[in-house]
Amino acid sequence: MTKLLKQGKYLKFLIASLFVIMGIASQAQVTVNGKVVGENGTGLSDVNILSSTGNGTITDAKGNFSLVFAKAGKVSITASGTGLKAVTKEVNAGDNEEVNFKLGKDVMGLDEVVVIGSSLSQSRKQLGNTVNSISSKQLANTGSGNLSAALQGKVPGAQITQTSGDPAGGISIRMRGTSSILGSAEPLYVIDGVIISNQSTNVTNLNVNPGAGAQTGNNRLVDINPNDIEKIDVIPGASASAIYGSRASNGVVLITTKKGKSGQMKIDFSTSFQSNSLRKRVYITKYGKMFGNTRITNGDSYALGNISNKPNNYPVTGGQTIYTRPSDNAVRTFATDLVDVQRYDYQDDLFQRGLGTDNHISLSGGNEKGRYYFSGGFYKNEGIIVGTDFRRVNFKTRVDQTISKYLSLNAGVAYSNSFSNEKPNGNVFGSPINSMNINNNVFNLNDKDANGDYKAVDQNRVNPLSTINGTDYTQDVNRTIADVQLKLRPTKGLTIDYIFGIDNIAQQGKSLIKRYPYLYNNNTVVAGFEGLGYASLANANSFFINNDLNASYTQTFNKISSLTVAGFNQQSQKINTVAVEARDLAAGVTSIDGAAAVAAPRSGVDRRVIFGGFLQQTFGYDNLFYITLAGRYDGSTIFSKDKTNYFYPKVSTSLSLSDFAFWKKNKIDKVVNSARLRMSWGKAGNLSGIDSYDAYNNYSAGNFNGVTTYNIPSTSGNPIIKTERHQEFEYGADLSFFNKLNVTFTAYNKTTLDNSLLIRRIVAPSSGANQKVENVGNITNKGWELGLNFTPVAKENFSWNVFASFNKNKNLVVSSKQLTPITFGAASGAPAVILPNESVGVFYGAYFDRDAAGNMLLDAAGRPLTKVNTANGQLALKVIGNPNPDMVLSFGNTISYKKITFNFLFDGAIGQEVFNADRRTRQGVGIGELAEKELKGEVPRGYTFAIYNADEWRIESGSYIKLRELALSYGLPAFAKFVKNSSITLTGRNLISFDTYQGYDPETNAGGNASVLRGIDFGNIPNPKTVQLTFRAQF
Amino acid sequence: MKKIKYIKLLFAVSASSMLFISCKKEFIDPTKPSVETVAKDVNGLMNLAAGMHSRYSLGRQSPLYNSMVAGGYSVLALKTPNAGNIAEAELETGLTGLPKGNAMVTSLWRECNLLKTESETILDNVNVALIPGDKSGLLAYGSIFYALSVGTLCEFYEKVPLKTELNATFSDRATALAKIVGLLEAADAELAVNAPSAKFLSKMPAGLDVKNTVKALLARYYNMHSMATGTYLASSGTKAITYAAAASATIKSEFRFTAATRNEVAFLSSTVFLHVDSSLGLKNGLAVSPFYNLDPRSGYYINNAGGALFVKGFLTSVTTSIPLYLPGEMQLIIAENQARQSAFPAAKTALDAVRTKTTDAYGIGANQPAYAGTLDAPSLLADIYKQRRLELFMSGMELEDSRRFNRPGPTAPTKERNRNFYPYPAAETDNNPNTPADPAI
Repeated sequence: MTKLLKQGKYLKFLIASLFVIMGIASQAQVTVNGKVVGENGTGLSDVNILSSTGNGTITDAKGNFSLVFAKAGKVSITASGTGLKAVTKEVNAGDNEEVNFKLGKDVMGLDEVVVIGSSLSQSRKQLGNTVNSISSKQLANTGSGNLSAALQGKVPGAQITQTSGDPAGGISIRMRGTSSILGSAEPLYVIDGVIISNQSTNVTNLNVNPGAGAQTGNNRLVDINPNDIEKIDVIPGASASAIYGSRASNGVVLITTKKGKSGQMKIDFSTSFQSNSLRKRVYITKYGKMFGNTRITNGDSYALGNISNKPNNYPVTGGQTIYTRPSDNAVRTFATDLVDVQRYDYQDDLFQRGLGTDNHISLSGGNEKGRYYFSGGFYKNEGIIVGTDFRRVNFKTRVDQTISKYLSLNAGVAYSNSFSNEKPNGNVFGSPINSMNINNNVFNLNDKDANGDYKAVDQNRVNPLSTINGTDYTQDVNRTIADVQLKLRPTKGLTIDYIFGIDNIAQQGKSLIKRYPYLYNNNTVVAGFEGLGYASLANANSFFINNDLNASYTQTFNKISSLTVAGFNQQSQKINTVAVEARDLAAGVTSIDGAAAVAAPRSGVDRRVIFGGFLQQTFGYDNLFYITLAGRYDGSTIFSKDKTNYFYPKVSTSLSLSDFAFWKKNKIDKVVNSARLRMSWGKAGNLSGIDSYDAYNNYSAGNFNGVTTYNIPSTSGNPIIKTERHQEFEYGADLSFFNKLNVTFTAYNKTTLDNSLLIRRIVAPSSGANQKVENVGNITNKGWELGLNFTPVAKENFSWNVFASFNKNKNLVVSSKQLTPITFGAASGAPAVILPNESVGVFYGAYFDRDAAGNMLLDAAGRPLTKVNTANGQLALKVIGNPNPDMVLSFGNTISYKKITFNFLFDGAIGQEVFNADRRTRQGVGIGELAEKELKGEVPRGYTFAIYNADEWRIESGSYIKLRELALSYGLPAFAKFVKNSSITLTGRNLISFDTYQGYDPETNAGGNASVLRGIDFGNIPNPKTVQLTFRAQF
Repeated sequence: MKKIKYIKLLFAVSASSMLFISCKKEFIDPTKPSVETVAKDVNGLMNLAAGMHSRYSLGRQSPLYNSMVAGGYSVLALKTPNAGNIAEAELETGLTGLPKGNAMVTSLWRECNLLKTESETILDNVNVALIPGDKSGLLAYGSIFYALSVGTLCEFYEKVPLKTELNATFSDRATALAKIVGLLEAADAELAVNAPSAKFLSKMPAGLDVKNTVKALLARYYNMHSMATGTYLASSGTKAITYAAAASATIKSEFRFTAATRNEVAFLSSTVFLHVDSSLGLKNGLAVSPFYNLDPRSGYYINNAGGALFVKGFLTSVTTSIPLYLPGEMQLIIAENQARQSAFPAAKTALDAVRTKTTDAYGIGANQPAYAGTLDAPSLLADIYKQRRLELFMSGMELEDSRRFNRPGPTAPTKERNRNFYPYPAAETDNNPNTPADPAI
């Protein structure tokens, strides 16, 4: 009660101060006019003008500005802009003197103001940690309407993987390696101060379990329109956490959307047309032979058999031999004689050229007091799998109003409706890609029966066309992100910000698998693949609120500057879900209604609150040296009371060498014109790591044959789990040579503290539980990032820029409570484990027996042998692959000549392995390249079966370098009075990939955004290549 | 002066932050009952009892699926038509081809252990029930599912943990079976005085007859106990005879299924696993070929006619019920123990009751002539074993039967089973230092 009272009192104070400040607003005012020009004397538009009293504006198209002050007197005015070196001037307001600025280029971006917190920004040179910025320009011609995809190759230190080629596809972002297993290993996303969710609540494919820890839903960042984004600041390290706290331990992506600028109304319009297609086909044999016999009958009750197993129960044509695999004594009967068959390439039936369009219009403008930005967008993109598409409609409004010199208000609403047509996802054999891999390609899929229905294929297999035409999966998402922000400047130096943000996501997912029109001879349906028809309906309503209150106070004593920030934030989440699944569908019914078997509906309410407060103090000495000390205290409702509250300290410093007098005196600046050293150390927690009720010991409730049932749940509660905590140390340098070459280097060491790494793991069943969330060990990520930016020519009519980034990371599980591998059962069969002294998610499986020189040992017939553990006679196991890349790199180039701009971007990941489950399946079924060799006698009979139990055969190098973007842009000559400028751009995306991978694309993951299940290729839709033509105009 | 004011304000902000932090909310999952509440509430315990019924019988991970299918594979009676079903394929290979990580070995172990934990919670809290009929029902259900969980483990594993605890210790099978029959006898005694209340029965899934199930399980586990050390224990054998005779041959006790809660064994039959031949995998002179025409039990359980192969019996459709015990099993328990106690005529009488029946409560007929072989233990036991295999196809008891009747082991040239015991799953070994070493085979 007292708490409430105190909170009420505090609110009253806020409201009272509001009124007081508004009252002061109407007094005699003076105006200061000025102009900002660049190095060549031309006026610069959109430059930020900020006065020491806190009011500010932006220059117009000619570089002019005017600032209104409450009273005459001494003030300092700072002009700053992206890529410009800030300049501060002392003026006497009321003197009616024009204030002119000439701004030089800020090559290192050290004066660039970067957002470091919900309402906080600092110039880069004050910071001891890395902040990478991406401008709207870099997001313009990417060929993708998906924000995360548009970031690929542009964020040093981040591995951005498109895990599925689905048009609404999943994207996974890892900053400086994987450091958390549970909860999200993705960075925190903040749009204009509102913490938004990129959580994947899965509302389709409910009948499929993709494996422990897999996160397969869409990445909901897809709801954001990249056209509305002004700038993105990325803080890769845990040092972000003083302001964002617990949820920021995997880094923070701070998105600033476009705002109106004072001046005439500006209309920006863009429209584009794009075409998506399959970049590369996998090898499917068309060799017209098969082992066994010619009895290929649609819907036969006998299985056709596969390359390693004779047809089931009817005589083979010609000979057969019985083979016992030496490694595990598995016995197979091979048919040895070949028969003629007609083969088909089912890729012809599944893939299409997908077309799309992206349209966006924005209106913006305003005056010094109030500014507005409205935009609308329509995006539609077809996938490369027949019948898949994604459509997004966006509306966005942002207004800001300067109410008085003490108070400004800023509010925005962004609404989007996303709708996607999907197909079953990869983790089931009833999905398009998997059905293609698991079917022998000797059936003509387009054959129809008398009723015009598709025919059955092999026994217990789904006709791949049924996965396309017999399924209907849709996802409909309404999303609103709204915020209100108040900025109070009660006195010089003091700023108080309050942000209230809401992110609401209403998802509805529907799945329909139509009753298969075909049966097998013995009147059975395709078991396991919902042959009787399946429908599901799921709703998820996610509601997130964040409250942020920050106060900052700046002071200067001679050469010492001080910035004090204190803040409190609270984030609450409520996710309501309900799901119903039904089987055995009635004729003519395509929903859960009327099904013969409706499973008991399931519901969920997931509630949590995370809260924290911090105090941060920065001291600066004469632009030369900065030091920041911060402390943060965090708590969460999901951990037991005594396991949640921790103190997280932080220290960071930066030293600007090139600003010291000796630098210029010794003429070092002629070569190294800018040099800065920085260092940062901090701790952070992962307070959102566990599910909301993982600390509570509950039964699960259900219904069985009409009665209520309680059972021990799949995960039992564990009240003693502690918050997972991390520590990160980073240091680096920013150097600029000859004003042309910029080098940014950062080395980091991130580690889990006190064996607090959280894992949901199997426990001994005899202890009365199946799984529990436990603190099991420590993970470290050590590495470095190097960014290079070279501008050989920067003239008005001709400029050339080259950039490159490298990130080397070594991920290691340094300790684990369980010394044997902690396994994560995946639908794909990928043996991903956590094992001490190995990277997270390494593949641990059976391998080939080799001699000392590393050559594979073969049996007498020339078939490889799988290694056997002589101690127990079972297959020997070891680490056979690592899905974590050694290095992520990118390389780009932009050349502008007059009105033509040409740029390309290469983006790659080197040193990781992919578990290619699909390739082995194709061999086993008898449609792959190795199977063809066995059919042709180029490898001994039984070769495919011999390699089948060696997991090693499924491991492939996943290294790739892709031509991510290629764009040619032409600024059109003026063709109408009202058009200020216009351009057309031809963009190509993912056109070429340099890799040795035998599947579609090594950039993939059946585990989606999962932390451990990574680098798994199992029925995934390949990432398309895209060609896009865009027209932009400004009115 | 002003400065001080603002510094004060800063402190006010930080102080209010700390206030928020200290306000610790607690959110309880509305969809799940807490373990503490359930243990104190008679209705909650009944829901937990119904939950055990569901855990035992529903789904591919259930002890019912895994014991039935593993039982068939263990005596070489099943095969895997689609090799992609790795767990089943490994059970088919057996020997050292069955790794500790096998999904079925793991499921069987895990689900039986969790079932055991659930039954312990009920047995430890039966006194919460104040109405005698509620209490007897809970006691009977707790005992039945404790027996089915630990009993099923005894079919497949050399040693079993009897009590839920961290780093649980293991007991040999004789001790485990002794504990099972002890609990069941207590339940039997209670049921003799107080029948389960109507309320209790209304909260349980229909189909399971409590009273007869307790007696049948007593017969089954006393029978196993009699040979658990390798030396016949006549006192247990006699008890087995008594209870076998007491279990009704006409009242059905079965696990029932609906389209929404389907019979998973039936659902996966024929595509995931299939019988090897028409003689249900019988070997070494026990099989008569073509068996299909000679013994109607083969035709009852499988279809081998016209080339179309599929499993029938209790796996005919996804709504077919699966019995907890069969009348034939009870007669064969009597026959086995009479034979072991050298009461050969009595043994023959019980054996013939099975051999000559034309039908029973479940429609299983044998239509065989009366036993005409030698009246000695080895000959009678061999026929009793054969009748068990025919009568109890995919009952989950095959591996135990094969050991108890001393059939040729996995390494014999004439092997009739591919393992003696299963390895302990990695989930247990990795997390419990008291897990015994795996049996060699």
